[in-house]
Parts: sequence; C-alpha cells; structure tokens
Amino acid sequence: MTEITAKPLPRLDGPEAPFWAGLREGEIRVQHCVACGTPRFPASRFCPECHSDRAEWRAVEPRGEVESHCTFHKCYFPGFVGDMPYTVIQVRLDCGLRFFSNIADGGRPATGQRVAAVFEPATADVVLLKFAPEDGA
Amino acid sequence: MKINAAIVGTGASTFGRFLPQSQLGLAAEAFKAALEDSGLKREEIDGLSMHMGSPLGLDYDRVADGLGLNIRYVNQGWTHGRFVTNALQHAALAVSAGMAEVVACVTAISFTRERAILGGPGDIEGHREEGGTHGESPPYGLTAPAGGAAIAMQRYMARYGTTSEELAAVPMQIRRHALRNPDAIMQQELTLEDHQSSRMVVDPLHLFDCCLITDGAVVTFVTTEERARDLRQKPVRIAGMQGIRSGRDEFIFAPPGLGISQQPESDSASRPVDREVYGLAGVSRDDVQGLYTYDAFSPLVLFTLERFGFCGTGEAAGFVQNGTIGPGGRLPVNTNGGLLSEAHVAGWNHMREITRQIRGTAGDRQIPGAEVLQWGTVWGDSIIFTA
Amino acid sequence: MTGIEGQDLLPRPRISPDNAPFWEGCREGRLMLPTCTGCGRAHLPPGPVCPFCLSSALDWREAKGTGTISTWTVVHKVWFPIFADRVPYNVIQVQLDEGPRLTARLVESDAPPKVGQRVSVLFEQLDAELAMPAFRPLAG
Repeated sequence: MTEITAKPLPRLDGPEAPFWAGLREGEIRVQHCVACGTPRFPASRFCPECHSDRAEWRAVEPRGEVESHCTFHKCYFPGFVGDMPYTVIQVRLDCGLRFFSNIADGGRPATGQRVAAVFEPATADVVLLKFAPEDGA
Repeated sequence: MKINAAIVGTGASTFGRFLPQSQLGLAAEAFKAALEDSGLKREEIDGLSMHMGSPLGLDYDRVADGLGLNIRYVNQGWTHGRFVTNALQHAALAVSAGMAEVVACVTAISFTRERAILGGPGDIEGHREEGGTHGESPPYGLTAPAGGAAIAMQRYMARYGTTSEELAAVPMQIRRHALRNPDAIMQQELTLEDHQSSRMVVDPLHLFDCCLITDGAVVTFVTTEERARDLRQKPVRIAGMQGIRSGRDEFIFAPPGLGISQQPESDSASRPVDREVYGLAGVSRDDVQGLYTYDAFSPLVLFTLERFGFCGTGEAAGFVQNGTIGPGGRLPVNTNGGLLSEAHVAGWNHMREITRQIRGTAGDRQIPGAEVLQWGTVWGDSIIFTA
Repeated sequence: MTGIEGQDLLPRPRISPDNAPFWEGCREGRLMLPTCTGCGRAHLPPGPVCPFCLSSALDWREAKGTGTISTWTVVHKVWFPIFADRVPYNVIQVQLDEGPRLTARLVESDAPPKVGQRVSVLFEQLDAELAMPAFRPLAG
C-alpha cells in the first residue's frame, strides 16, 4: 500500500474548473448571476437568489476579512505533518463570498483581521487560494 | 396523518474500546436484550430503521440477513450521526402509516476500528467538491467533524466573548451525570484543570470537548400506542416531531446566523420555526424536564440550548454554569453521560436513557416524575417524548 | 482527481472478528463453516449468531469441500485493472453440500461452468497472508 505524503488536491475538471483556472492567472473568478448580478461560490447551476440559470465567470476583489479560524493539533492528513499545528481560516471577501483557507506562511490570524489573496502554487496544475494580512500587518 | 408511535423496547451491548465483537455481534447482543426487555419475539420485528452504515456501522440487509429477520419496511440514512432523529422519526412514521408493526432501530458502531473515516485521507466524502458535510476542505487541511465544530465555536467566542473555561462547564456537568451511570465509559470526575490541561485537538476544542471514540450497539423498538399498551413495559410516547433543517441558513454545527461557511449573518435568535415541535406535541418548552442532545462536541450543547430558546443568544455559556444542566439542575442535559462521557452510539444511548427516564427506571439518575423530555439537536430536529 | 487510490492492487477480503476463522482455515487448506450447535445448521456469510435460531453457540466445523454450481457468470469487462490479463474470467456460486453458498471461481476446466455441475474445493495461496478458495470439477 503506497504511503500518501502529498497534501490532498482539489478536483480540477469539475464545475469549479474556471475558478481553478482563475487562481492560476492570479484572480479569484466566481460565477455571477446574469439576471440579478449576485456572485456565488461554490458553483451551482441556478442562482440561489433569483433562480436564473444564466451565469458568467468574473473576477472579484481579492480582499476581505477573517471571520473565524481553528487550529489543528491532531494530524489527520499525513501530508500536513510538517505544518503541525496548522490553522484554517474562514475569510469573507468584500463581495460577500466565503472561503476556507490558510494564512500564507502560516501566520496567526485574528477574527476581524483584513487580508488579501495570495495565489500559492501547489503543483504544476494547482494554485491554491491563501491569504496574507493587508499592509503586512 | 397523526403520529401514533411509542418506544416499547430498548437493549444495548457492552460499550467499550477495541471490543472483540464485530458490529453485527454487538447488534445481536443489543437485539436480544431488546427482545428480552420488550417481551417481543424476533418474528414480530418487521421493520428496520438505521443510519450508521458499513463500514463504520451496519447496512440493513446484513442485519436482516444475519439476525434472520423478515422485514417489510426499511429506512436507511447515510452514515452520519446527524440522522439519528431522522431514523427514529422514520420508525414512528412507518408504524403510524401501517407500513410496519414493529420497527427496530439498530445502531452498532465500531469507531475504534474504523476511525479513519472521520477525517483525513480515509474520509472520502470530505473530498466532496463543494466542501464536505462539516465544511471539510482538504487542500487547506480543514477536515473532520471536530474541524467544523472548532471553526464555528471560534466565531461564537469572538462574537460573545465566551471562554474555554466557561465552555468546560458542559463536559464537566455531563461527566457528573455519567458518574451515576455504571455503563458509562468515563467514571472519574472531570475538573476544570483536567479540561484545560488536556491536549488541544482542533483549537479551541480540547480533548474533553470532544466525544468518546468507542464501540457499542443499541437497539430500540417502536410500535403503535395501541400495540404498546399490550406489551410489558410502560410505553414512551412519541408526542411530536420536527425534522432536520437545511438550506443556506444552515451549517451542521452552528446556529443559523452565526456566519459559518455560507450562512448569512443574523442575531441567531431562536425563531418560531425552530420551536414547532412543542405545539405539535401539545406541550410548552417550560414543560420539558430534561433535554437530550447530540453532544459530539461541547459547543453543540450551547448552540442547541439557544436554538430552542432555553436561553437567549450568546447566553448559553452563562446558562450552563453552576450546575444548571447537571444532576439535580434546573434543566438536566444528557443524564446518561452523553457522547462525551457515556459512549458514542450516535445518540441511541440517549434514546435508551430517555426510555428509562419516562419508565421511571433510571435509578440514581432519575429525574423526579419525568413525563416530558426533549431530544433536540443543533441542526434543528427534535422529538418530544411523554409518558 | 482521477483514478481511485489502490486501484491496481489485488482486492482483498475485509477480515472481521466474524469471518477470521474462515480465512485462517483457507490458509490451512481447510474449508471451515460456522455451525450452530443448537439447531445444527451451517450458515454463510459468517456471522456472530445463527441466523436461523439466533443462538450464539456456534462452532467452526470443516466442510466436506464438495458442492454443486447453483449459478455462474463470465466477466468480460475489466473492472479491476489487476485482473486485466484474466478477462474473460468466470465467477461461480457453489451450493456446498452442507447448505450455504459460496462465491468463487471454477479452475482446471476448459469448459464453461454449468448449473448443476459437481465441484470440489481447492485453495490458491496468493501471498503469505491470503489463501482463497476455488473449485475444480469433481471427477465422475
């Protein structure tokens, strides 16, 4: 049985493919409803606000605020052994969308802290969305 | 269709860690105990309602096959503790509709053998594209039910200023209940110092904020009230039920409005939709003499108290201080010792305790004159049980 | 992410407290069946109680090793990459003379399996830990 030492990777060929392509190009690209303009993430066929099925992918401002965090002391993934303990954050971008992520370079987050996106290459095909404190705070 | 259902039998296996029996072996032990308790014969069981499937638990077909049953109604939820209420509700609906005479809710789990499924690479469902069912996001290391509960509690703490020391009152009080339960795995007092010095699992959750990892089985028999009156034990009536809430307002381990994952933010005040079960059961919340809830993590108890309006939003930490939810308190919670201190049988060990309390056979743990008890969860489902 | 982890590996039976004696028997070249000392019936798959009378008083007894093919199929699709060079391969269900049925393969036969065909068990050692039952046509 092979040992898994790599970190888990996202699926690139599913409905989020344009999101992952956007990260590779240094943008946070999400669906916007053509009818009412509301952005949404994760991808879905219908707008949860107005139920329109017409959407287009556009970039949003890559800035926001840390809304919550938790720090893993128990190592569930062998690929994270070198990062223990590590912190997961929930970020709300200024456009209102939420993402789970990490502080790039493993810094300590604080709820309410302003952050900006960092586009972190993980493999040849995958760039992950991470965040760093704005103004290097 | 009116609900016409009562619990008429309960049985359990030993609870422990690294038990030698298979899940089916534990289920067989609990099943025989439930037959003995109820006076029913194996042939009279014609329905199964289950949710903890293989490999963590059991699939209905293996139970029917392995125990030699003849089943004409099956409900099987997917493998998560959250479907405990749902599985008991299905049993009540089935007998009320005449689809079965006696439904067995069979839950047999081996967490110690199968713990990889909870988080990490063994948790295949956690890799669901849009995020796992507790918010799992493996590329960022967010995994396991503990991760979801932790990230919710951190925000609750930031909002209301609740501290870990205040949170500790939950597992400490539930442990006090467990000390009166000879079946409980944890048999020593839990002090604040024990709690605070225990290792962090996922900050802000310490070890003792997290449920036990154990093996065990509980079987519960449900039939109609008419049939129940002919049987050996005092019936435990299912007086009212409300279902799992779901939608963009809901995150499994957070009250609506806390703002975890995609939840819109609000003041998280308890709403009429959160409390329908009382009207349906013909009781008021003030009639509830004991609350039973899915205490996989201590914050879930706080969130449940607020969801059903036992206290105001942000007030649960204060509410649980000073023994309010402990033995002899104003609102005892999980008098069996819960998932935190008795064992993890996905809440079915709590259903067994509710049954004993209504029957008046809970011994040292008996809530005097227990006639109205509530099972309710942070994800909003609930059952009111009455004498 | 494409592909399933471990997909090139040999699919192995999951060993449980209920079936462990069956697989130990296979390693020793013996077909063992859980048998109820109360009502006398053997059952498969192995379980913790007799499914017929619910007794826990089970004993593991060696079966004669003979039986009759009750059904069969031939698999033409490569579901398991490790079986690619075996395709097409047969899968049979044998009703043992003691009563329970076992899924296995028919070996040492150029002809396809037939319902009603008499067979007897043999054991194939796959590695240090795993031996699997298979069946050959019974002479005569």
